[in-house]
Amino acid sequence: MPLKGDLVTGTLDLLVLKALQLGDAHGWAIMDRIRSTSGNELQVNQGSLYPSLYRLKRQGLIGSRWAVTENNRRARYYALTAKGRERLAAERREWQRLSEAVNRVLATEALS
Amino acid sequence: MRTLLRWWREWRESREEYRASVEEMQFHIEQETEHNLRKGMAPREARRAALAAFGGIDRFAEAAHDERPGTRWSEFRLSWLDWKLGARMLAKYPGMSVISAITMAVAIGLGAGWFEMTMKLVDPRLPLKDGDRIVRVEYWNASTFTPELRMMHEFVQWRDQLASIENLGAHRTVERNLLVPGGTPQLVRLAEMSAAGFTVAGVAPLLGRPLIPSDEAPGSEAVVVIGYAAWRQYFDGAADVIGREVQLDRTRATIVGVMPDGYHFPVNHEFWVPLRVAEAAPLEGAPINVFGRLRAGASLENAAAELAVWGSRMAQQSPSTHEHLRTRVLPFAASSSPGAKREMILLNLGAWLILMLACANVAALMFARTALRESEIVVRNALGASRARVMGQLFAEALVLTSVSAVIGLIAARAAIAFTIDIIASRAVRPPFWLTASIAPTTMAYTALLAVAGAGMIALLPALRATGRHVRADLSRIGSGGTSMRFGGAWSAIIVLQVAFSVLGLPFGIGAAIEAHHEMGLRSAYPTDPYLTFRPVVDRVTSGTTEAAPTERVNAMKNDLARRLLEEPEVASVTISNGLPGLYHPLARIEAQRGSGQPFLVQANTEGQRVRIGGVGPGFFETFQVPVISGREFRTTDVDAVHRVVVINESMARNIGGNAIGVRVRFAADGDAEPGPWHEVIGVVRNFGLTPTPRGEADFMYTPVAPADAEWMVLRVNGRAEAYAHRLRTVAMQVDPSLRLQEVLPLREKIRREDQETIALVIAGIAVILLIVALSAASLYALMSVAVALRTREIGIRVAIGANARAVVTALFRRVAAQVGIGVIVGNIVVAVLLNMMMEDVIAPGAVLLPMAVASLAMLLVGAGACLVPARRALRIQPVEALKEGR
Repeated sequence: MPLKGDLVTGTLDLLVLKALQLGDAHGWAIMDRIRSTSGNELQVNQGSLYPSLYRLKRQGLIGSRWAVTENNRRARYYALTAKGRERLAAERREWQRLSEAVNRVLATEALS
Repeated sequence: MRTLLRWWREWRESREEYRASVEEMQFHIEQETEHNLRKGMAPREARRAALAAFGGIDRFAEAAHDERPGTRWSEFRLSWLDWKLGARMLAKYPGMSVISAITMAVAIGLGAGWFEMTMKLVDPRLPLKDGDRIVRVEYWNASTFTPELRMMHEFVQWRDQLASIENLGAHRTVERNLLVPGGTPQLVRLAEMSAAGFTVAGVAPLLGRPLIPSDEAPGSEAVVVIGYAAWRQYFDGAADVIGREVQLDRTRATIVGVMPDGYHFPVNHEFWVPLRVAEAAPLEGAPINVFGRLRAGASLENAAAELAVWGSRMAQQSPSTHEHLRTRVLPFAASSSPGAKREMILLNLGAWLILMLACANVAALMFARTALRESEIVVRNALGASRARVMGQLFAEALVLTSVSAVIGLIAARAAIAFTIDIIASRAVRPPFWLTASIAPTTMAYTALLAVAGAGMIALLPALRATGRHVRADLSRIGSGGTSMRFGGAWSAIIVLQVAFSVLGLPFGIGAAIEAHHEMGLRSAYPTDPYLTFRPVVDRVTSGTTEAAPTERVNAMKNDLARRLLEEPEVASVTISNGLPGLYHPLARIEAQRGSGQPFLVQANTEGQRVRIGGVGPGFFETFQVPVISGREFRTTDVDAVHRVVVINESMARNIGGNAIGVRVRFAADGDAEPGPWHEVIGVVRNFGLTPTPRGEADFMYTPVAPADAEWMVLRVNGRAEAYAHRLRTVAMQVDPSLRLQEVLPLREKIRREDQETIALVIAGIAVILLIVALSAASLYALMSVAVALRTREIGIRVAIGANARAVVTALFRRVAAQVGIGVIVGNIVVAVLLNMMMEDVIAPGAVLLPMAVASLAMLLVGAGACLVPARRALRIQPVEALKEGR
């Protein structure tokens, strides 16, 4: 069952950065990447995606340009900047550390 | 300018960014729709699902917009959506919006109207071709700070010598009795003007010719050019009017031209006769106004410099007369007073004060509304909207409101200006031709500034409070119905002041209205119908000079007129006076002395124990049919008598006490002025009953006056006064064609006009006070009810845990009662102090007491109503619900 509801703001940013690491993409493609790579488990709140994209852009972590899609449609494509790449690496390490910690807690047997 | 450009650029960028965001999201929805179609959905369903998943472009475009890159201050931008939301918000709270819009319209309208009038008066634009190049040349007396207009000597020299000004001319205004063959005499204002006046204005005549230089030559035929309105009025627009003769005082002048409609150069003239220029010694001859047009290539500064050189030469040549005189070149219609513009602009500050007052009230309403919307603001904050963005939105909302108000205010200001100009035109003389009801572009820009400033003032405080750190941090309250916005001491102070002001303003407004109504009732009951009043003016006019005629001649002429009028069957009585019953009379403190006793100050009924003084001629009381109670009326011989005498009215006699006949009275010492000589009271007359004071009819003291010193002449006619006015002018013209009668009006009409002004002032005053009171009540209600509504949760919980409902409500009322109560007390104290100290003689305390009580009660009721409604709502909530929902 897909995870519904809002993602924590920081998590969405991390996922967007990761999706862009796979290549430049427009907004819908970013969302689709997150959806498909998570095996349909993560459903990004579509309306939150754009505030997140503009926030990342303001922070200089991603850039944007207008381009034409394969269907000949005009779309805004986002790309990871060098600063964004660094941030992604850092965030990723942080996430792993956090999830490992959480996993350790969850894996602990009941104290006896 | 650069800042404006930057704002413009930022605004355009912001609009483009918004459009791009919308396009991007539309693309997103289309992609999602296609994705759904590929999953096998029907086209319509696929589209609907995509839209549902996204949740509305406008909403997210705006949220995304908040995340746009930009600097801290550039985030304070206004998008199209802000305007849309602002308009929507106005529609959502119609009551508040209407009150706020009217308030701001009044404030902005006052500001705009005042500014426009200021500009019209101190720096008007001439509606003539190249009107800004028409200038006025004058002397300014640097020691008396007045213009020196006796410039005939200079004018003759300037006309030949000045290089920077061409078509130099001069004009002065004179009055003449105009007699058109077959008509009755009319008093008209003429411009004695150089022929250059027609060249400078650049307007061609409709018929015939304008004045030409040869008309000015001594001995040339007397000619006159008439205006369009005069042509229609006196000649029915006859095409063959050129060549006809009219009589102007003693002169017969030939009409040589008719000017087109709307031409009134130099000021407000309808008749033009040549100004005969005669060589005169410096600072002699008739006062004139010199004008001209800047020569091509010359500027105002060039002309000023040229004249300054000339002026300093004159000052060296004749230091005794010209030492303090400075030449000045000004735009033709600009004010003479050097500081006028600055002063008038400073006076505009008053309008800003009113604007600030209005803004404080509207800000209170806005604050109340913002408090109700706090959750929306907190959500937007959480979504990432910066403080500047939220403030921008609140500012946009206020700006939508003030823009609507500015349009209403501007329309109202224009109507008021048109009305004022009409009143001036109908009452006295036509206003200057450049004074039109149009609104200048600068005024529109100024109004826009007022609207923006007003919006800033309205939005600032609510915006700062609503986006404060305590609010931003308090996301947890959302959904609980609570709010963190609190009404601090400042708002309590505002409530107190509002109440105090309402309690203060209302009684005085109503009191003044009652007094005015009472006074007008007295006047309308007085039988003014048979009285015709006018001001006879005698000048001995020769071209180029005006001198007051010798006293003996004026006396003789007025006596002659009185004698001729008494021969008329319609005229029952004639008299002269300096002041008309029921109208203005000067005031003075009078001392009385009985026998050789100690002089004492007459404790008159009027303010400051002052007595009204009227100079009257023999037969004055007989003309007005006012009985002499004791003693006698004036005789002709009383005027020049060595033994000075006065007649007093009943009120003054009562305030002197005992038998007033034979008592000596004099003007009391006033400041540096010595007491006047003693006069003997020779008569006591009944009160006219037209000048009431809170302590009865005002005290009057009448002194005898010679015809030459009397301003007014009064006739009692058999029948209605209006009917005799035309005949009066004919009789006067027969006595002497140069005897001019100004303001020929029935006494009833004169009193009615003055009453009209009083009524207009009282109505305007009451309207302003009522507006302020309504606004105070509305803001008070809004602030109070929001303050209580914000405590709904607290009330619910307190009742839930077993508090007595009555105790809760009492606690609620206590604060409201304290605020309103302090306001009422402060207001009443100020009223009492003012009444005691200053207003006692103007308004009777009794007239104020009832309105005071009503105003106090009204404010208390507003306060009670404001907390009753939300308190009842809070008490009706089930305690369990309050705990569960936090409501």
